[in-house]
Amino acid sequence: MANIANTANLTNMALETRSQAQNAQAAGNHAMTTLPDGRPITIHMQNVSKWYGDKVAVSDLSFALGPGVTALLGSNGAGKSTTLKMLTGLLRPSKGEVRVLGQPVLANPPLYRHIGVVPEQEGLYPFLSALEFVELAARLHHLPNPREAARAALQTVELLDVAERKLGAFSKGMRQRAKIAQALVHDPDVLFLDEPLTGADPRQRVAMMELFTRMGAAGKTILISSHILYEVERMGSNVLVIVHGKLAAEGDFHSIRALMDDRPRRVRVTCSDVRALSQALVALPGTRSVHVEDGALVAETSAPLEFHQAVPRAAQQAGARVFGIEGLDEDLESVFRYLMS
Amino acid sequence: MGPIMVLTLRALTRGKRLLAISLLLAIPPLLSLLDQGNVDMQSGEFAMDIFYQLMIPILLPLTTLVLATSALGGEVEDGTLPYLTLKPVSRVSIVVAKLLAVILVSTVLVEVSSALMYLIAEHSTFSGRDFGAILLSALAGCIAYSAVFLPLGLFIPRRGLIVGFMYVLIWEGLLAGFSTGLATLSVRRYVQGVLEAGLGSSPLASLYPSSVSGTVSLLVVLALLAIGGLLTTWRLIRIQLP
Repeated sequence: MANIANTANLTNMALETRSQAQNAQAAGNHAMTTLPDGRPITIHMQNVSKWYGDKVAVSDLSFALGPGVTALLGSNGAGKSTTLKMLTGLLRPSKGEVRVLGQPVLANPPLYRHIGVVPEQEGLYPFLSALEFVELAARLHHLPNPREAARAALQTVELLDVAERKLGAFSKGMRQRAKIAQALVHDPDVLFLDEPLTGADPRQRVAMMELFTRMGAAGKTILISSHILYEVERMGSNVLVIVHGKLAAEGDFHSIRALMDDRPRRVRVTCSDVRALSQALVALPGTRSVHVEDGALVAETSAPLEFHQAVPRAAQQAGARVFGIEGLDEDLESVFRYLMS
Repeated sequence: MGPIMVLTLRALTRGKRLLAISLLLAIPPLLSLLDQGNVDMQSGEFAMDIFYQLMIPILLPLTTLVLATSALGGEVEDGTLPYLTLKPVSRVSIVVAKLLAVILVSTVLVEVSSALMYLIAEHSTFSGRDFGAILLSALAGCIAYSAVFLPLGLFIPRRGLIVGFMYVLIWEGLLAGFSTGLATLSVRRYVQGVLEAGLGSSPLASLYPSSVSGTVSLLVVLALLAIGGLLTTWRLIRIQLP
């Protein structure tokens, strides 16, 4: 029990230590142009906060990223979109500094030659065809052959066969792909994507994830926000976890995933004899604590699977009847809360 | 600038918006049709009355209001503005493209309505000078009101149309007609100034006595164009899209 707790704490500390070391270097020294692993810094946030009146949306974020895929992970309302909007210049930070490719983002239109953005907003021009929409982006980027560039981008997202159809007639998933195509049309060095896989069918989801992974491997910087762990696992070797507007963890996804899997869970057990069953549950391997809450038992365990399997047998031995077993910490929000704590 | 202007022209000339404006602007030609055969009025007076009393203070500003507030305000409301601002395009060129598109569409619509109204009412007593004065002042009005209403869509995207509507009806349509002092602060006065200057020595000129010279009116229209463009650019640079 104690070992598991120690492992989790050590992993947490390791992640924090790495994050703090990187952030300290990145945030404190403008002259620094590379990450500790030698990759160039392409995205840099330094002590950035954003508030609306009394409400703090993002608090003192500092990180530096280089080429490759980085996932911005957080539950809805955690501050992912606000962070991406500040990185792309749609929002002005209340405090702190944002730089992309070494340049300030605000009031710097030429920088967008190197940046592609898939915004959160769902609105598109319903009267344009997919081809016209992507070609518009190509023309605004002053590409030499906008029509061909648009066709190539639509081919990449597998929309070329419906290129002449109006966006107003597109499904949500197709609109998302059209948005991705307009962001890719000029072959940007840095790509920001805000929940780009929303509405995509499973096959397209996999295809898009493979596309982003390939782009990251080819040296592009991809920052992609998501609240779905599975997506992040498929794409991001590097992860930024944002909870309540703060950077909760930063580092390799697998380390964070292990931390998430090892964290203690709370399980609620409703039964006929609370007193008898609580003594039996305390004796189970992995159980950290058991207490009564609203007439039910709430146990904290570091081995939830084994715990679920052992409860019926323990109840039988204790002479109690079990009415229900319910995991209380399986949602992403609780995972993030744990990381924050 | 070209692609944004083409995009805006397409957005402004589609669907219910264009239909509503067209119905509104069909009123002056219809009034001319209904008045066929009335011989009580001086030659050209009927058409000029409609233009002076209805087109300049009400129909022209309403037309430009609907178009101008949707040109940028509609992009904010629909969430499409990032597809323009997150591109290597200066804010000034976005505003210029939007402004030109609004001026072009509103001018074509208002000029067609005004021309039809005049030609139907005065086909037997056609005066090139009167006709030219109407077209010129309609152009000046479209430019001035477009510049006034374009920033409205960025400052108050959701309420721009209703605020502009109240302004047109209460200020331009009502209060500015009551006193010369209030009229000084209305766009209507300077559009009328252009009309009166265009009429020159026409017999109709005496029916619409001018309180400002044509030169001053044109300068005010150009000043409004510059101020409206700058204000919109300033707002577009600072706008945040949460």
